[in-house]
Amino acid sequence: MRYLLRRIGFYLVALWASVTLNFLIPRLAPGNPAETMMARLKGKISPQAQHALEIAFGVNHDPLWSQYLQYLNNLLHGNLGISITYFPTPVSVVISQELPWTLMLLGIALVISFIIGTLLGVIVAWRRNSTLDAVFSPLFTFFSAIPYFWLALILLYILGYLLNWFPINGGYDTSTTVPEWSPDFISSAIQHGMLPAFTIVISSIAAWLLGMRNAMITTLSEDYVLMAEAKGLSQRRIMLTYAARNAILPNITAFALSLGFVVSGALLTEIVFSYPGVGYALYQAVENLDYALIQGLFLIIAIAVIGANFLADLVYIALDPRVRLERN
Amino acid sequence: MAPHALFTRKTKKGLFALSFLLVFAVLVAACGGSQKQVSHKQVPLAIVPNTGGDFTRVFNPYQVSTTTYYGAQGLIYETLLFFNRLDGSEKPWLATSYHFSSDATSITFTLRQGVKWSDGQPFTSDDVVFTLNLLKKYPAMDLNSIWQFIKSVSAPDASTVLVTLNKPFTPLLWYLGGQTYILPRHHYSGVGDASQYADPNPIGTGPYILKSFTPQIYIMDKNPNYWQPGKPEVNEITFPAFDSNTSAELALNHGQIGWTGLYIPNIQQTYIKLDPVHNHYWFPPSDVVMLYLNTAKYPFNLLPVRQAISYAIDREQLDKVGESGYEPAASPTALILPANKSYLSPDYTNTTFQVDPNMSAQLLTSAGFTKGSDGIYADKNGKKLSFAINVVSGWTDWITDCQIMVSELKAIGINASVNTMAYDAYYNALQMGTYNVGMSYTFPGPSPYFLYDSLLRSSNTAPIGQQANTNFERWSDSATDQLLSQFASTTDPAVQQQAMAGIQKIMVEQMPTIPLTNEPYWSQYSTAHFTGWPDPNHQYALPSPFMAPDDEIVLLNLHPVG
Repeated sequence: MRYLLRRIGFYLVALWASVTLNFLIPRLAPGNPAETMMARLKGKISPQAQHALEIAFGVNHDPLWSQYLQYLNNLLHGNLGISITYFPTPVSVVISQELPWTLMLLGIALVISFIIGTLLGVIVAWRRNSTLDAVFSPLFTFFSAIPYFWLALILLYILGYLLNWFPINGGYDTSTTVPEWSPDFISSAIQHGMLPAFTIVISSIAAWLLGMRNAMITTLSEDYVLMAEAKGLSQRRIMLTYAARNAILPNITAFALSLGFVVSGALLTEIVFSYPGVGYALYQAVENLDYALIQGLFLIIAIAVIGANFLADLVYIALDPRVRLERN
Repeated sequence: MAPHALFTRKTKKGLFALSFLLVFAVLVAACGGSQKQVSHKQVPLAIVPNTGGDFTRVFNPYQVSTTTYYGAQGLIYETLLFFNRLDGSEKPWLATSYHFSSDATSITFTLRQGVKWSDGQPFTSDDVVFTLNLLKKYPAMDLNSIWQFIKSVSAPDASTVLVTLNKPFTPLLWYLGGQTYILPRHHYSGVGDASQYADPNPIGTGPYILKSFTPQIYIMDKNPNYWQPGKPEVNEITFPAFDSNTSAELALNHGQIGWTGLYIPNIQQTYIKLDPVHNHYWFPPSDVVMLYLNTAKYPFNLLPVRQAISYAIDREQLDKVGESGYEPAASPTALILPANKSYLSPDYTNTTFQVDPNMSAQLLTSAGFTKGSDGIYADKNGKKLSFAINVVSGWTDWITDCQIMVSELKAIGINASVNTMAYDAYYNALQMGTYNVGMSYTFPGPSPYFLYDSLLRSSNTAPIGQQANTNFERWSDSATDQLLSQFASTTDPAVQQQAMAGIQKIMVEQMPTIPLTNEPYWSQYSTAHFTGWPDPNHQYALPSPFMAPDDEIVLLNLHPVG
């Protein structure tokens, strides 16, 4: 219990620190949003508009500490401010319209990739130097070594554009359905998500596979595994409950961390497939010096990462008796 | 064994069954998708003005966020007049006529009768006066700073609007008539601060009304109350969201997009060849790309240095190698030709840029520079002629242009280099004057006045370290200012012509900036479902879907095929 309380205290401090950095870092970048917007519109609007934009975006001239207090106060009241990129849309609206796509796509891709990668890792370590090991380990390492952007573009071009197996863009078929809880929409969304998810899975599987494989190999040389074999336990039982259960701990930590980072979106996936999501919004926010949107998104990321770590701590307590024993 | 149930053989079978089901479901969905209805219903026209990711529901035409102002300007909210920037002509629109007072200090608009807002209410002079006063009340909406020139606005009767200016200023007509979108008083008067209003359910006079909105696509249907009978003939238009040009290009090649304005390298091979009958593009010139030299700094304040640099540049190379042949060499007058043809001074009808390294050498020598042993020119104090050209990182075509220029300048003995920068820093350096040489664009309008005014007028510049909006090269010359004022304060075309001829002389002889190429308006379209697009033989409006209100004019000229 004391362990848990200490962890909670630690996470609260971490949250405060990230919220503060969140405020400071975007403000260290030079330039102002009106100027940036003018540059982006590249002569499509008249030069006089810069003055109007400066007024509209209301550049705040209060001292930094007073802006910081206003910012904390707004946060406590759940007010994330107005986005400049999507002016005058509130940041909360932008996040809520993009986040579900990111959570679904990346969440599912991460879980699939973690399960397949870890399972394969267990199997190839158990049968190391078999054909399985000789094929899967280098194959997935190869996929993860290809720059993701390029891999995704090639797969999109071949599977989507040339072969027409998958839709080539978007989160769903905008010409036939609208976002709602209908079978049409859900099947359309699944269909559109498959290729992006596939590219993420095959490019990220290697990390899980290799991590698990290496941890397994170390564990397999432990005395208790030898003892289990001497006791004549079934091969599967030794593989899963003796070796894998102990070897999976580092992968669980990595999984928790990745789970937290899911909310930061997958910019490259979104760009290649024109898939809706948080990554592109964050990219636009940074490009446009959109402080409010940057802060809003980083806040969500910070909360998610800290929350996921906390979750990992809890899972550790459940999985690893040593953690429980030491603390009591 | 219970905790390991997940790994037993039985559930593995279950997983297999599940994935089969999933694949089956997807196949069914895929089949459903490909069975397009073969009815005679008109296909909607999908328009992608730009690739900027998902949309938010913003249809206030005075919000220039990077996403959704496409459609609000022109298609929903309309202007009083239409200016064709391709030839400078103007058309009556919500106003049937206008006239300037003889001293050019007031403009009277006569409004069209029988125009209705999409909710059925009549459009009157009240709405126009309300809109203009709104821009005064909320300067954040006054994107063209029109209230810098307006004294007052009044409506003598329901179909007349009188705008009084605080000094004679005829170019205001473009901003006031051509770029001010008239809002309905009954809709906007109750929204509070209109500059912070998103206008999610717009009510306009234009040919389209918003039918539905999601962040990935918004759809507009034709306005049944539209004042031009029988128009528009395109019943439904859609705006799908794209994150990147690559992704939009694939959709364009698949026929999912009917009209767009993308930069597509090698367009003959990648787009036209796929369907030479229906796929088209037209890239008329939009503005002049300049090599800006900071004339507030030595040695760029010396005319021979500027001229020597210009003589070294082969603009045909820039066009062919850097710009895929889309950007022909600019005119030394900085006029956009042929759009500004009627203003071209008879002295310069055949003037073009020449590449002449000998001329460069002669000019530099006459200005007191001598070539050192390293082949680089230096002045009397031994200071070498050396500078970096600022350009935005990622704007690959311009970077190529700069690399070409650098090698050409090196060949004549100027030690130039390319400096790629993030565009914030780049634009800031141009505005603050903390640069030596930079490549950038200009701000055009329906007559050459607008480009010249933003480029050359001294009130648009500032000393180094202070913000100059558009006069980046810091040209400050009273003769130039006088000519610009002469144009702006008269309604007499002959006097305006004369003023523009004077500016052309300054551009050619004094070279405040170095014109490079004419940047085009990008546009690609398909005639598979709709015809009547603007093309070199039908230059009735700008062809790019991101230019308003030209997008409206184009849509009103389209006819469905068959």
